[in-house]
Amino acid sequence: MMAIHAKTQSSQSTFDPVTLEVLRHRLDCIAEEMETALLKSSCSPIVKEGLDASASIFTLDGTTLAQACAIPIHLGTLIPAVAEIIRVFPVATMKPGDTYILNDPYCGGTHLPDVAVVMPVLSRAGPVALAATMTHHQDVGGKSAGSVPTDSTEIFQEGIRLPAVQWAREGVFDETLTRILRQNVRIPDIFIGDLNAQVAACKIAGVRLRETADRLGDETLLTAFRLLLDRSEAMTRAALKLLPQGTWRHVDYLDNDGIDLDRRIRVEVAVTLPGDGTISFDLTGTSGQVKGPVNCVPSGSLAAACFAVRAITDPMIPNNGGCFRPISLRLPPASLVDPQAPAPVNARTATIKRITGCMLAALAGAAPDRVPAPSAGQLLVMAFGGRRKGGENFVTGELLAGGSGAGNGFDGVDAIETDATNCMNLPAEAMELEAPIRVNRWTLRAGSGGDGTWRGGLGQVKEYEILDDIEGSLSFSHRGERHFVPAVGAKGGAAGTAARSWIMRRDGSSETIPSKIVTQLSPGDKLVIETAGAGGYGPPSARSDDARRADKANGKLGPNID
Amino acid sequence: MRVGVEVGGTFTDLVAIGPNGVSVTKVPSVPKSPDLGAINAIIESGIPFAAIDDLAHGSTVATNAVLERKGYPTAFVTTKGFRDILILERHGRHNIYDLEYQKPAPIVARAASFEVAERILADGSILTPLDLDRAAHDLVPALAAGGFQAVAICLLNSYVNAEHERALRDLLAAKLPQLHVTISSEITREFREFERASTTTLSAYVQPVIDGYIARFSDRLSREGFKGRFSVMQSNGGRLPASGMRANAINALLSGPAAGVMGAVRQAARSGFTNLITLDIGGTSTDVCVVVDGKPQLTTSFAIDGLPVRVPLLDISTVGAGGGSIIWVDDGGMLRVGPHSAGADPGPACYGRGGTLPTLTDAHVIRQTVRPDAFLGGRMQLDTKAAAAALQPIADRFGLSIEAAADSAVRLANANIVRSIQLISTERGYDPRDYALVAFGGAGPLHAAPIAEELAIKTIVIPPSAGVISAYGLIASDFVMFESLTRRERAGPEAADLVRSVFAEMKERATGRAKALGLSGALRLEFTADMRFVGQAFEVPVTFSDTEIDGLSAQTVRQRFLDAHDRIYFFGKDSDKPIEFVSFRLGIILPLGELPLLTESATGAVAEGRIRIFDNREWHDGVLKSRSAMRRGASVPGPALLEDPTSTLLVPAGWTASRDPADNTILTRKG
Repeated sequence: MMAIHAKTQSSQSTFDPVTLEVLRHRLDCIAEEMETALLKSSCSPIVKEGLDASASIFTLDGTTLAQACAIPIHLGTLIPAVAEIIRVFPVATMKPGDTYILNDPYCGGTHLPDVAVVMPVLSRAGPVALAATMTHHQDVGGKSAGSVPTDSTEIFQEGIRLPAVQWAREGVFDETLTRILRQNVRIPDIFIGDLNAQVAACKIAGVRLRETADRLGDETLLTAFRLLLDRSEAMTRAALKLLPQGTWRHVDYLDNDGIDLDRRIRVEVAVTLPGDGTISFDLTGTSGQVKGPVNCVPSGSLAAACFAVRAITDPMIPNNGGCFRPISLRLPPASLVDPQAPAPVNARTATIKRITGCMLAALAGAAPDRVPAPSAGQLLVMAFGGRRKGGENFVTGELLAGGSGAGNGFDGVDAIETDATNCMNLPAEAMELEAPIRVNRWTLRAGSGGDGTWRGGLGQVKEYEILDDIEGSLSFSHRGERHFVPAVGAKGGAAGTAARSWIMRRDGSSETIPSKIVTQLSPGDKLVIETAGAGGYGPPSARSDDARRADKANGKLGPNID
Repeated sequence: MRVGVEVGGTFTDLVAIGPNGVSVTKVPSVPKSPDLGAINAIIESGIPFAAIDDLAHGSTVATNAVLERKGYPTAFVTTKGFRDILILERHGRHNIYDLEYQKPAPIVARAASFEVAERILADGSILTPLDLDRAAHDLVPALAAGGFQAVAICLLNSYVNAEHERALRDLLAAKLPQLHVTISSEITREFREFERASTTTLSAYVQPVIDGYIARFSDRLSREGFKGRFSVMQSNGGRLPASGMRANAINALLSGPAAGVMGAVRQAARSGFTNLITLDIGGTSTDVCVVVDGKPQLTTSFAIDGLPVRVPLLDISTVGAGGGSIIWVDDGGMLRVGPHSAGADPGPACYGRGGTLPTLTDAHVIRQTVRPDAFLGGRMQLDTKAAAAALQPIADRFGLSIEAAADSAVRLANANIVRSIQLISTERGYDPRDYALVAFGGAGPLHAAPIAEELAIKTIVIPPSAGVISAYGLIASDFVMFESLTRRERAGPEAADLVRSVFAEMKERATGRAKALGLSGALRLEFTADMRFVGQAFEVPVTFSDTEIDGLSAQTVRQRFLDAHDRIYFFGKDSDKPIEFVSFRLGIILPLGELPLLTESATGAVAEGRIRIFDNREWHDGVLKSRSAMRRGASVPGPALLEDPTSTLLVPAGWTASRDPADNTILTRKG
């Protein structure tokens, strides 16, 4: 660590550490200001409830300088997009007000609803950086409203595909492109409005960074960028060197791909720490690409790796592309994690969550005390849509998490978001205001946490009832995980209980939901959701009597009797 | 005589204003028994208790009760099927990288959460009537057996129909009279059950604490012969008679910081400044707040210890940078300041109480921007040698002179504070260049100028007795209460009629409450509707004055929303999309009659002299002066140190300080 200090000192004698630290604050602050503008002015509900948007500043060679994101799934997510844009449009030719967009996962995107917008930041002398934003748009066309069809079998069903294209030249927008975009989506005003919010966020970076460049001078600024990246790289390498050398593996499964409901999908990760401050993740052994939309282009595995490394090292290390330099990935071609066009990819979030879980579980081999047992790692995504009596349409969604894994010295957390996502649930009172649906009960799922010296976090139970105030029936989609493959325990801890969901029809019949389904619900039907519990840590026999008494007093064991 | 007593973590400040002018007193706080510190301050000030007409108090009692979980055993009661509201939360994480993340610990354990059979629907209709007999049979004995002192009741959809909550409260009041019962519909009537339950539970939890505290304090005051009006500062920047606070404890959470903002607002207004960024730098933290047109911005999305509080309070952003903030070097070899603090004990190394870690105050001593002889008006001698010993390792690490190392730390602290100001200004659409910076608290005047420079702010206002502005703010504040109500309805052709009927309903309830607290006089009403485009996830506050409501048209209501939306989100001005009301808030304000005037104190004044300070990378020769010695209209060019007994003002090179007719010291930049 002293070496880093020396390097920072010697690189540029005029660079005192304070100026560098102040500049870092400044860059982070600009990224956060961009992110706030994005989150506040976007219309897309998934941006508002799911915080599914991010803002970054990049160096001219496409390295992340600063990034603001509320959910890890966005970590590093703009890297391939920016790389593709500067490949097609050389930076030296960029002018103020030039605006580039891209969403095609096979050209640097993630999945089609995520549209990247990139603009150059220019000082008096020329380009000094790139501003980039990514927003999950509510609809980008394709076979179903919302552009995330759980039953798509090729990307052409998922929406409009944009390779790297220029949308504006020196601030003048290409009307032909705008008209093509508008024609291909279901809610053109909102789509263009949200794109404009992205442009506005990029412009904020332009204004703020130009002020800084004017004050410090371009050369100083570019030197500082380099020093900041080097410093984060050195800190990450130093942290990785503290871990033991070796290779560790973990295998887990996704329930199914939404098409072949009985086929589990294998995810395998081998993590290697060679001891030189680098880390590699090899996903060989992972399933080949699948028919349904859970395929995940490489940027997803990169986001997972960035999160895992950040979580296992020191999250206080300033977040920039320097942290990513020691990371390498090996993704088998034509697989779940490196699919070939035109494989569908819209439901990749579930896959990223599972990859993240596998990476962390493998890293447990290197740092057993610091990595908890596997979490439920599920984010149940549900959507309800229909028409009220009297003609008003409603669409509402719900996101529900399971428990988090127990660790050395602590029980898992009940009903909590984990790994690569960080979404909020929908209050019962909000659901009842939005839609003709009543929440009958909502409790912890007693007994669902894996037993152990430290107990896994509990899942949750939520029961909904469809009310009479609808025309006919409503359409319902359920994108589950952990229905067939529970979260295992660690160090002798027991597995958590798998998720289950079923529909109790008004006539008394009952239908189990096989993890993923698109169906109809009618008045009087009830829907019961039980999310998964997480794995326990350490042998159950070593759990303290006090902890067991507290579990009993707090009703965390056994079947839920109320 | 009007007296404000503000209990802080380290010191208890008192400001008294009467016919004979202003007096300022500072005594050490008594953390175990804050009221004792407050009484000590009054005794120390020499003011007879009987001579005090108006005593206003601010303290951190409620905040500490929550942070240290020192409240009384509290139970939670809700609708059957929902006992886990407090544990389920909204299931997002506040720190996404922490693999050992734990949810904020709920105030109430699952075992202390109870259910009652009843169900109200979103439209207020009753699906299942409350079974009072069963509650009397099951709930009452369970609460009695659990040894609870307080109970929070939050039933589903009670924000629209409070009938069941009130019936349950009446039952518990009759059967368990010793229990403090708090119902959600009397704390906040906004939808989203977790946030409302959290607010109600926190309120119930601190209720017995605040109640006992105020009772003890009031008793002592009357034993000492006090016969005046006793009021307590609320988090919303207004006072409430102490008796009212005993039933509304949740509003005591940010009592101290809110008082500082109000004092700054009042004092800056005397010089004609109404658009402000307030900067309160104390021992452990810095609080900043944006003030537009003389009104501090309010927020309804506050959280304490991760637990949401949904009552309106001042939108104050806090960063862990203060005089006690520790200076350290991270693993990457970078210099850092805070957020850890040396606190009051042992405190900075220069306090000579055994602290060895370097702090921001030590850095000032080394830079000679704080004179060891002048700290707290000379009542506390600082140890320069101890400060140097603590900072030397940092200087050695970076190969810097000790002054340069100290200066680096000060500049870094400034960068942290600048960022916290940007969070509440640029990131919310306010351009700091349009605002005056009002700096106060013990260290505010020391840091104000470089911070203003970084934000391109051209004017700084330093109030007299800047170190005790919070105590002044207590007696310079209005009495304020809030009512809230959720009523989601389309804002169509009947929008204006709906506004009128809701306003009338809330006004009646609010004036009734005011009367019950003995607040009489001309009340001012501020009515706010939270509105949004149908289906949008966030609401935009739209304000209506009480005088315009009679003549309001549906079109005006709509246009007012569109304008407000456009101002915040940069679109919507010409939208034809349908809009809706979500909730309403009514602020009831009893304005302060005559504003007490604050002046500079001459205690500890020194003769004018020459000083040498290290600031912004180099040594400067400058002037030392007492602020009390500056006459109105006089000006002093930087570099200069202008002292008063409560704080030191640093005027850097390039800035000029001048005394204005309102006794504020105004800093402006040359050129």
